[in-house]
Amino acid sequence: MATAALIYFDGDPAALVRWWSGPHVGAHRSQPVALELVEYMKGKIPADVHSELRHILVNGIPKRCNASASNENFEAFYQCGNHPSCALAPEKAYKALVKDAKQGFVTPFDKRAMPFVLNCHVTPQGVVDLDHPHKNPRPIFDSTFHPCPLCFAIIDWSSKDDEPPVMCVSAEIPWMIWLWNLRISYPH
Amino acid sequence: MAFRWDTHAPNLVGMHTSVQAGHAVFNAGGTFGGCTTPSNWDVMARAIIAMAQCLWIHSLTIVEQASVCLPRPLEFETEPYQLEGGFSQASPDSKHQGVFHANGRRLPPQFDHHVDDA
Repeated sequence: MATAALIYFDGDPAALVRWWSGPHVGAHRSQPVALELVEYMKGKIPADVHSELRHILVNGIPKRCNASASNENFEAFYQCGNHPSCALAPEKAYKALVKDAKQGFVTPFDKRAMPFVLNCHVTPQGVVDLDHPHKNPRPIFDSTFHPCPLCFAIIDWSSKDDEPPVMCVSAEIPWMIWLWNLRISYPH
Repeated sequence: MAFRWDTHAPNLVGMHTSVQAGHAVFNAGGTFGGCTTPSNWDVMARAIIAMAQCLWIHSLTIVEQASVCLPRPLEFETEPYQLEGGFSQASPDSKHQGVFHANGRRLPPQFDHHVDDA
């Protein structure tokens, strides 16, 4: 069905995603309610956080993308293929894909339609946790991977410098400092 | 589920295509290993922290209502816990002044967040 819809939309994945909606456009966040919530939070949270939050929920990520890719670039990535881990246990990789598709995280379509997709770029995939006793296999990719030195990967088209800084990478030490301050104020 | 908070702009979904298990795949959500995923998820956590602190300061009734939902009434220790060997006393210094403003107003909890990987 996704392939039929993709052909119907002349290979435009943006139109397909907007039509498919659901989690692909963040509909699970209930967009009108999310926007009302953003308005409600105005003035209650720092202005810079509010601005970034509104941008993420309304416009999507990343904040800036400056991309120009050639067909040679696409071919280089496509011919490179996936990491060998994908071939180690194809049934597990397929199971992970089905799970992601059922939950609406990805949209699989017929690979033969790929040459007709507008602005298409393929990133080689790998699969981790294939033999982990307590975790399910999951696909990952390396945004920095270049099949040849002159190729452009998706990491080259967006930059962390354009995004808000990561500040919550650690909660343990701040929590301990808070606990220490509590003990200062409440010694008994 | 952290990745589901942020989604790529639809015009960039084609850029996030891959081949998995013999199928072509569009990925519209923040991706594991994506360059801009952590910084955009981080905004959600910062908004939650700021909103929780705001509610803590201004809406005590919400806290009281939430406590009703707990499975049993909260019981607090009335006697200080006696640790063998004793606690070392925490004393204020230039960095750590306790949980009160200079004007005596109580600071809200920090509501620290941590995401292990994104």
